Amino acid sequence: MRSSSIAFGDRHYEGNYNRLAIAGDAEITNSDVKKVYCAGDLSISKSTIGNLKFAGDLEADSVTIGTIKGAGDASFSGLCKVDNCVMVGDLECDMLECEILQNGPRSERVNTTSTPTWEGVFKGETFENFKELALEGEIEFNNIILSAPLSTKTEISCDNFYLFSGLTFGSINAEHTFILASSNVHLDTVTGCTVEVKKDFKPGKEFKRIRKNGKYNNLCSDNGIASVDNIEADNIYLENTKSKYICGINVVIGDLCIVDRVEYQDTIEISHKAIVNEVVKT
Amino acid sequence: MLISKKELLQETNISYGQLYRWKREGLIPEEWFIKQPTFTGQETFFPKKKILRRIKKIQELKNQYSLEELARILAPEVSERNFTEQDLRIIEEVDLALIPCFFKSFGKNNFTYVELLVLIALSIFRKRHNLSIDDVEMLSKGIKDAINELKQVDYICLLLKSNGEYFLMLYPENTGVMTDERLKKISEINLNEISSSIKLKYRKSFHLDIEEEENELLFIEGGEEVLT
Repeated sequence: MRSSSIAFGDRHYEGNYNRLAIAGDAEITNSDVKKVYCAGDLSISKSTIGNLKFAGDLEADSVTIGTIKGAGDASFSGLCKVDNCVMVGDLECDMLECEILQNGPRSERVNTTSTPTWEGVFKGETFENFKELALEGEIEFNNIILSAPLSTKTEISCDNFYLFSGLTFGSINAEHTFILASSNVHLDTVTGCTVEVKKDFKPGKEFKRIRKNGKYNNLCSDNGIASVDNIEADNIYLENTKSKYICGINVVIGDLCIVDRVEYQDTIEISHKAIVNEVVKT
Repeated sequence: MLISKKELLQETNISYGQLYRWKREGLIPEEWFIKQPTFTGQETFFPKKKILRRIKKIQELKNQYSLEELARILAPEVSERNFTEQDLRIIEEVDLALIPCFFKSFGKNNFTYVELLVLIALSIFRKRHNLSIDDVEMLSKGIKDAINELKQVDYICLLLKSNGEYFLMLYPENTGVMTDERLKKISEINLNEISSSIKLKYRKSFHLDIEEEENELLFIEGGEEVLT
């Protein structure tokens, strides 16, 4: 039978537990615990945890965890798997696999004082970013949804990429890219199958199907102009976009676009409220 | 020699979406996307022979394998398997007459995956240039220590000749090589190309990084398909 424990002060746990509530530092090894709540530094190794909430620093080694909600710096060594991981703070890992990985709280009422840094290899289904983040590792996710700036030195590759915030970095290569037009968007290159830059976002079927934590209903841009130097995709739809070079199969240049050169293969539509310097059929 | 992205898409009849999907899946190495300034701004170019060959292979195989499987087949990573004499006899690309010579010159009873690729390269060189068994033995002895350094297979195996003697050189496929003019370049073989073909052809026999079993495909025909 599983027992529960409420502890004040430092503790070491090993075994099967229902619930651990700890105010102080704790070490959990070779354990299977349904719920852990910890205010203090926590070290977990070779254990399975159902639900973990902590405020303090976390050191985890070869663990499987259902849900993490943590505030503090965390370090994962070995192969660690988490179903739904919500973190506020620096993160370091060898390899962290998550169904959903979320940086920062969804609530705008929670303020963080500095930009956290994440290092290591992060893999999984969906990555959501709600607070500014410096990424110094690799993210390999099928879906990436950015609602806050992310700085990274590598090209972002994924199946579905959604940008709902300002962003300044190099390149995106995704099957489907959606960018909410904003004057804070400055990108070098966006490539893939479908690229859309629009001034508002209504979640479609594809987006609704994505497993995620955030709610993203009917978002509107600041009516600014997004700057994307190069866009290459099969299907391109642009509004409020400034671009040097666009090439695609079916291209729609909507309102408030300024484009130097467009190359298209099959179809093109250009709004009378757009300025296009050169159009070439290839 | 380079080919522009526009020319590539026209020549191979693929879309932007496919090209960038294959890049994402690791079927086309990122370093093959070479950005160069042009009068319209900047354009992407590719090493022509390599990219055309790679896309042809992807197009041939994409209906039989998932993109993930294809990435493993085409990846330059090394299989961990060791190959015994019995294994070598199954691999048609290894010249049977050379097997005793390989054991003698390498001084061991089994070979790593990279060594296997070099043995195949030597077998192809022998067939193509009528090398004697003694020539191959000397080449094997000369190159065996260098092979230990290879952690991946994206290397070119180059056969050189000087004063009637043959020499081997291994160099990374993305770099050029300049040799002393007294060394005559005879022939070269891309180990990565051999690797992809071997992984495909013998995946059932040796479990070479392909998890699911599917119908067998033969890719090396007389060694010609894999030669650069």
